[in-house]
Amino acid sequence: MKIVPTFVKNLYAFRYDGEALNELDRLLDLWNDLAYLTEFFVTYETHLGYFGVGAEEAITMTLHDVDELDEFLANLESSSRYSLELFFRPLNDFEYKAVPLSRQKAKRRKSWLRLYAIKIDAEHFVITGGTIKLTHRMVEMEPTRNELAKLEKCRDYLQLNDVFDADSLFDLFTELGQ
Amino acid sequence: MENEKKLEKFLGLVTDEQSDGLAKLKWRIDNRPWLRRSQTIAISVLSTLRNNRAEGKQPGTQKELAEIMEVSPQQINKIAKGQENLTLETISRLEKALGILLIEVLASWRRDETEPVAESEDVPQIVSV
Repeated sequence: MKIVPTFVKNLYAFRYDGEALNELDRLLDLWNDLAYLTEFFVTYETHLGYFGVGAEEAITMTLHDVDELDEFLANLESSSRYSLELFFRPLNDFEYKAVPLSRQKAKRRKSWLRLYAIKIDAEHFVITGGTIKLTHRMVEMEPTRNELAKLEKCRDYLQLNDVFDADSLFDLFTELGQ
Repeated sequence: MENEKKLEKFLGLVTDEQSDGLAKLKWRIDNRPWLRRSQTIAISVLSTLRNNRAEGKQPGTQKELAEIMEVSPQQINKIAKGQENLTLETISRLEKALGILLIEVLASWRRDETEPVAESEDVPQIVSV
């Protein structure tokens, strides 16, 4: 696995072994792929009951979200008015203090698209992956469970490469319920 | 560990690898009007195939659709991704193969849909393609 720069200043992304694209580029491609979105929402259609929509409406909603995400990222790329800290927020909604290598999620209001990242410092983030989140807790659905595992794997990688404080290990397990 | 040292170590792990992610993103934004239509068509195509499959009808798969349209499965795969700038000919062939209407174009004298339709010999027409 490698860490590579993205087109947004100070935003990095992992590129996993066997993948041609880094996680940000891969997800943007995937979320614009109707065949993928159809398969995803048909597979997880039972989770859409909570939102009161069927697969086709869910796809249309997602495309609208992706359009907004494109605009947002384009603005981030071209302007210094936006701060990455505004975009990412702690993965653990109850995390109230700065934790070294804190896991972050990019959540945009009313959207179920998620980009997950590890915060290096206030201005530097590295994206570990992302998915469409249809349940309250990440452990309730396979795609989000996989993303939790990727977050942990990436944090391990950074720790192995000495980009961590030993004290940050304590929240490795306490956040797993999210 | 001090933040500066941590950042320095992190930046030391970064591989300077270029991607075309920004070009793709700008392309999507610049081409959004027709992309949205292509995506809407893809939703209808995939939904029809799914429904056909459930009812045991053909075409129920992209492969069967490709055979009926006499195009490659790769071509149907591209259409299903919703990122093809489809010609009217391709759209018409899709409609025929699937037995559905994918787009309709209002004739010029029928542009203002909010106007009540007057009873006359000049019956407004919807031209399907």
